[in-house]
Amino acid sequence: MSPQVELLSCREAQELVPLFVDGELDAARMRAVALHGAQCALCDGEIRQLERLQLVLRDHIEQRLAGVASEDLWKRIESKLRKPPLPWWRRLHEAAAAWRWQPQVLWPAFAVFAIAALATALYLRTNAPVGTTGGTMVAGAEPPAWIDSLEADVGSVAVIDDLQNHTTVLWVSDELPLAGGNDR
Amino acid sequence: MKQLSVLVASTLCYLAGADSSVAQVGSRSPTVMLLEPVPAVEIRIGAVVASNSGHGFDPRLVALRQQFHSLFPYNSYQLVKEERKRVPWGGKANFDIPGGRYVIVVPREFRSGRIAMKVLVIEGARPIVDTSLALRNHGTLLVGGPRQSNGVLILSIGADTLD
Repeated sequence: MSPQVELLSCREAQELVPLFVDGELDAARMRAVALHGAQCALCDGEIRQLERLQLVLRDHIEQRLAGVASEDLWKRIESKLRKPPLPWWRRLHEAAAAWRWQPQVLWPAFAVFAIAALATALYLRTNAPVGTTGGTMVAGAEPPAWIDSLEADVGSVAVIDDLQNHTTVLWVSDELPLAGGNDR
Repeated sequence: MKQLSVLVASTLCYLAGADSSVAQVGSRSPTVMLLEPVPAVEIRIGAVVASNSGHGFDPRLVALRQQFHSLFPYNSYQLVKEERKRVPWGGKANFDIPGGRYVIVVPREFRSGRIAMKVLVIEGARPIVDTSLALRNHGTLLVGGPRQSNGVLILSIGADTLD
């Protein structure tokens, strides 16, 4: 697997610099511009200048946004929101009142419902996905890395969360050598 | 592009009421001089060659011993490169790694105790990994699998906010 380096001229690199700074280039071109920048002071200066400009712009926009009074906006949105639904027990009570149910009927129905809810909760608890590392249960632990998107130009990719050691592994290969962990 | 930069920067400075310490527009040749951005994140990279030839465990990898032993079936782990770079949000940390590979890490923002970042691992012109993720602050991401010498390469990528 010999490395193939795309060499850019200054003109080509400078055309790509804005996209590079915005992170919108594909990986190969990203690398090509980065490599060109490492070897060309002029283009490197262009990249750094644009990056600084981008930061100043962002800071300025954030400052402006921080100054926007959002309280009135929220009040207007809130006024258009529907009233929150009543809790289930209130709805049940009101339904019972409407249907003129007698307590003798309501309480057994409630007991059946409570037993069903308890059984469901127990089932979910025993079957809930938990992180495991070498057989150790790490209930409720979050993955060290939340992966929003992943692309890989390889045969196979494995994402493994080692919750106990707070480590996420991306394994890119045609083989899976892993001994433990929680394979996603 | 430069003229556009000058125009945008001038407009911006006018809007922001910035003084000359933030931006100066030269009279002879139009150049924009902006302050160096303040680094916000430190990106750590370690390149480890794992193999079954020998039984050496590099003492510099002590912090990763438990992970390596519980996750990978190799006997030997050698740190071949270690580097740290401090970058601002949106800045790029570029690293050359063994085997003609290249890593670009771009920390985007800090949210919910995590550092949202883009990670590119490139081999030649081929992107081995191109991912966007949110890594727990001071957490570690391991990227492994590419063949290296008699074993495989495992990259440890970590990020720490500097606040």
